[in-house]
Amino acid sequence: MKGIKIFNKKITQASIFGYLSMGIVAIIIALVIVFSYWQIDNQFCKERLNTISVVSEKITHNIYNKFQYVKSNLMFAISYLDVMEEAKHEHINSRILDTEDALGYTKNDGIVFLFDDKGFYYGNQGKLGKWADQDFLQLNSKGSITINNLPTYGEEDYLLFFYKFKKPHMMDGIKVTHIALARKMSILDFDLDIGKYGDVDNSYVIKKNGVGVYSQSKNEVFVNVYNILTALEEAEFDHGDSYSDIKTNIKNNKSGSTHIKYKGSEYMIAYQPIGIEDWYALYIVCHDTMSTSTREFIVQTVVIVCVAASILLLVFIVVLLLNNKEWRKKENIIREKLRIAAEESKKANMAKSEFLSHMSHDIRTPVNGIVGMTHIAKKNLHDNVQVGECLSKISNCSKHLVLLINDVLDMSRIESGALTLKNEAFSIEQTLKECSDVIEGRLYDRKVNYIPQFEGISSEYIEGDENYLKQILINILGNAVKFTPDGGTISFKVTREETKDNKSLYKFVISDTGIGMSEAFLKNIFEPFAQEEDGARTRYKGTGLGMAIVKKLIDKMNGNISVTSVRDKGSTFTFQIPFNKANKVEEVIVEEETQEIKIDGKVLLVEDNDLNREIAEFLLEDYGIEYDSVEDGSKAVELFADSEIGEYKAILMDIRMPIMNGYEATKTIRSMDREDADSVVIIAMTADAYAEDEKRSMSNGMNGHISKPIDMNKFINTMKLCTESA
Amino acid sequence: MKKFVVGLCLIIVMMSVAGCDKQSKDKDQDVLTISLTHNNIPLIEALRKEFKDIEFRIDDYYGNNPTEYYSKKLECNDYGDILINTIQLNNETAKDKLLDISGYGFVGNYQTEMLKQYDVDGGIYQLPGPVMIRSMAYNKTLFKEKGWKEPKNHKELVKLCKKIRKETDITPISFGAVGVGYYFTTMTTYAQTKYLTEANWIKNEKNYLKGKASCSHIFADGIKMVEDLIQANAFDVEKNEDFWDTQAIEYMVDRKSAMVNIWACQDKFIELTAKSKDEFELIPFYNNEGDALLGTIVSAHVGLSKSLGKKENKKKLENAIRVMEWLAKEENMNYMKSGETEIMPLENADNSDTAEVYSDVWEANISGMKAPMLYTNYEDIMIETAEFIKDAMIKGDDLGGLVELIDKRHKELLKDSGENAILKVTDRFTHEQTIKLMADVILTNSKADIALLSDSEDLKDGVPNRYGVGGKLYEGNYYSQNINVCVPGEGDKIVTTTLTGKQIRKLVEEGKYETATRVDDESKRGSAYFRYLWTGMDVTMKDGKVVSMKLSDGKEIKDKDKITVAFSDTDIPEDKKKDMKLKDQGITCLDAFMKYIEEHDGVLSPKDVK
Repeated sequence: MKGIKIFNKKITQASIFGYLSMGIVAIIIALVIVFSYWQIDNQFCKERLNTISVVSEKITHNIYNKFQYVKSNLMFAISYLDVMEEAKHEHINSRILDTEDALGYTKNDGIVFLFDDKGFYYGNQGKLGKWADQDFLQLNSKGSITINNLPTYGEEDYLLFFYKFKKPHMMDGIKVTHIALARKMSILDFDLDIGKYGDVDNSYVIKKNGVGVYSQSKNEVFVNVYNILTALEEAEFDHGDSYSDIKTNIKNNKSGSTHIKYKGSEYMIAYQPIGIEDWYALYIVCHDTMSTSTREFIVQTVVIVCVAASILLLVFIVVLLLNNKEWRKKENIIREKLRIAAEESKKANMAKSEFLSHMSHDIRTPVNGIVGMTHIAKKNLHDNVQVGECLSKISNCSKHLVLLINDVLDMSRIESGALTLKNEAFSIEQTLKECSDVIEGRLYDRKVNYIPQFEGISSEYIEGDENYLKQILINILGNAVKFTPDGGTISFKVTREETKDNKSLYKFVISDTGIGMSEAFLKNIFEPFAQEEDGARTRYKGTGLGMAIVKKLIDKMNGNISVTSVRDKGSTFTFQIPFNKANKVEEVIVEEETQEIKIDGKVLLVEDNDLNREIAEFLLEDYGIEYDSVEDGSKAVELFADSEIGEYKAILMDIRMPIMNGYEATKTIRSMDREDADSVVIIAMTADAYAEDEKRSMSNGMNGHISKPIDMNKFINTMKLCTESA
Repeated sequence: MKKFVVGLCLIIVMMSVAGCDKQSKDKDQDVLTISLTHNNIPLIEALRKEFKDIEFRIDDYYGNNPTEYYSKKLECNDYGDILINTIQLNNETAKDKLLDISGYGFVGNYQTEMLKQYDVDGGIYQLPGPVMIRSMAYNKTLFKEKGWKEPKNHKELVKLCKKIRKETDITPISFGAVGVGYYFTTMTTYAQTKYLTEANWIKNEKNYLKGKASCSHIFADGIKMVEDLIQANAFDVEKNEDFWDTQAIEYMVDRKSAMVNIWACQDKFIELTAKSKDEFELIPFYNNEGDALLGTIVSAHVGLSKSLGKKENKKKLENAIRVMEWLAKEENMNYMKSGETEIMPLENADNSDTAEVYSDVWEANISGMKAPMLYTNYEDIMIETAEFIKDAMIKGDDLGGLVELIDKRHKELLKDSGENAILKVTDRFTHEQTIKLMADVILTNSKADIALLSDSEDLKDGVPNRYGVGGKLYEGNYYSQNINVCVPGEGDKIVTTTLTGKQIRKLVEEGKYETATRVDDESKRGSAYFRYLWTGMDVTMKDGKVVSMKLSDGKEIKDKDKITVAFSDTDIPEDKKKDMKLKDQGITCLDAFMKYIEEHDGVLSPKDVK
């Protein structure tokens, strides 16, 4: 479960990373687009500012020229008046009229005014009144032309070009001090009209403080303002000159340009000193007008880039999604595997718990029997019969316990994959006979009909693990014996056939007319601890591991097994195992009965466990064998080293001992510089009972291997074999 | 979880508070306060109708001296978002207190010529309202009958005045003699006729104002011209002492005077002359050379508070600009007209509502014919100059010494950093404290037990109370020209009368029942109650009813008790006066105040209010 959580966490992290990456890429692309747009627009804006600056310079120059032209007209008027004075015109107004005609002014395009020393002014109609701006007249320098605006004379705005005579002229008895030429401001219209930019431009002639002198404004936003610079103070200046730059530049008679945002619209502004009085020409053009085509170009470019980037991003997303899909597939598979593993682990845990529960009962039962019978025997020491019965029962319980432990150990080895099958030649016929004998022995006092059928089974030698084959057969046959009541029949049929790859395929069919099994149980028959009824546990006394072991062993032998059964009618086990053919081997007759054994020397018994040592000593004494016993390997080495050459004929060596184990002691003894170091028989006497254990004993220099609990026959045979060979 | 919920609630509460605060700040942006020297109900009503999303609050004044009162308000930065002032602020004050509006398009609606008068270094801080023309008028029919010629210069005018005196008992020239300012205006208007001939006049004026030149450079001719008229016995000041402009015009219409100086009430000229069978004509003021001048006076100057230029007042400014744009149209500026004689200073105004006699005069728009009335920058010497001239007119004296007086006074006040102040107010008074102070002034200068004084702060249903106390005393220095801003009816006398406790209780509970011409419709009169405030007694009230009244010595005033009460003479309703036996205390309210100030060593503070 922890593994699943870690895996899920990693999957989530991977998904988040994927989405985050996509997001970051999208943001980067967006930023790049925005920056590009801004950069391009910026550049174009600079270009436009340059353009408007150039245009405004030209226009301003034209305005200047126009002013210069009017000034020249004024100078002409002055000269003309001089001429007229000489001609002695009578009335001042006729002189003015003549002058206007000479200048070609009609319909009040231009008006000539003369001013007297009292501040009155005269037109072509005569005396008009007192000039309002007396201050202005006084400030005029003699011999210079100054320009002022005369707002709304009649219905038009006029520019006045003043000239103060160096010496007053006498005209018509009037001391004339000034002459002024008034021209309509609309003479500037043509030049101020930056009509090429459309109907949205605003042109101003302003004083340095921003007060308008004249304007041609089409844009409602700027029309009518008194002070254009004050109006612009509210604008947002984002390219070119800032507001304070403009004020400084104007103060210092410099020109400039800028781009502003004002009341929701954008404008380009250029300003130029006219060179007349302190006046400036200021041009305000709507940005959209100037930039429509370039903006379109930028937009198109940006759109193309956006589309390309979007396609790229889309491809990236698709690839990511596809990968994600694959990943998810794999993820799902892994999830499923993990789920299965978790379930199996759970099952295994449950099985383990169940196993322990079963084992607890199964172990306690015979142990209980041993403890109980021992107690009864102790209480009845005087009663030999009772004691004999108790010992007999203790013996049965012990055997059952051994069987149970063996089955558990077998199962454990098979489950852990530690089980190794022997591949030795053996006679199938002999094996079948031996198994059959065992079963017949079990059926001795039973009224069960046992029918072995081994037709066609030749004296063939095959390669395999004879012991495990026997275990299989004994397990199945043992169950048949167990579950077939008296009056029933057990048949054991074996057939052989040749396979394509030249192997011998043996088919074993074991049938009984026993209690049979239910269909539900049949499905789980090969599961560990599977038994038909819990109640039967106590009745039929099994570990429940037998069939599981059988199945595992058959599978290991590349065989197969099947079962059919009908409740109260009986069961049939059928299994097949292929074997390789083997050459005949010499028979080794193993005497099963106890034989006498003579050893010309002592036996050194090495055993750390007191009880086991006692048992072994008893057995040695029983067989009249002289012995010495020690508790661990180091003492054995010492004793052997101190012994005389040939004093010990054999050493019964336990393997698992403290201080020095059996393997180390054996190696040490074998490496001693003594004549009998190699020849002394060392037999492993150990609870490690499997083939590999035996192999290991041999490879460490031992001569034989017997497993605990010590089987006397085996013990003697091995002793005999080893001593004879020694 | 608990912590999370508490935290979330806290955040919600904080956001609500911030939202409320923002909402209240936002709501404040939709409020515009208009400071007016004279309330204009039709204008306010029109604004409220037009701008339903804006709340207009009115800050007005019904005291003696609106012009000086608003100057003080400006000085103390206590003024509204929009100022509508009868007097044009001087350039320095305008630039300091008002927003530069030269960058707005509505400014272009005004005649450029008018705008030049308001141009301060390229900025525009005030805009003119309707313009009134100040001129002389004469009875053309009478002149014809008597064989008198319309004078074409000042010399002829003087000669004519002598002739009229010799041949008839008609007053040659009548004018609103009760108005102190008119004496100053007469002199300065004649002085301005010289402006038309003297190119250095403006330069000289600037030098005078800076204290670098004598006023003789600007006023000498004007003073001489007034002197000539005094010598010609042109005026009957004592006879016309109670005259305002209307009475002066009536005088002429009734053939009791031959000519009249029309400084105000131009509407009355139209109205009264229309009823007469005689023919009348307007004539300009002339100098000796025959240069003609029409005086102009702008009835209202509109400006925006500088505070509107702050970032946090963005919406307020937008609202104020909307109002200014609205005012810049002829049909709306009409609300600022007081009659049919005013001219709109707008570029495309047709002035079709203006009486022909005035629009014709205006259309004779020859340069040099118009000059604005002098007031701004001359406040310091105005009262004393006016009194000097009035005195001379009454006595038939010359005006020798006037130039020296003006120069001396002006220099003193230029250098003044408070030493010449008549009064120094340490901290701002509330309106109530001001009323109580004035009540104390009255009580202190009378033999009375208590003093009652009414509140002139607000209109009630369009009815003004012009005789109580309006406004409040602001912190700062007070001089002769503005000492009367909070004095109730400065020329009014202090009177006492005996009232019963019951009568006093009634006055305290009900207030003063005032009947006056309505501000929103001068053809109608209206009545309303205005609360009294008092000094000399402690009053406990509950739900508008008197619970107890005690004199300052702790004695309970019972219904039947007779108590001596001091009033300002005009603060007693006329219908009540007949039932009272009023005893003149021999001192005017203004003099009483001056005495009070002296007794307090020239310093007053709200702590002095009992």
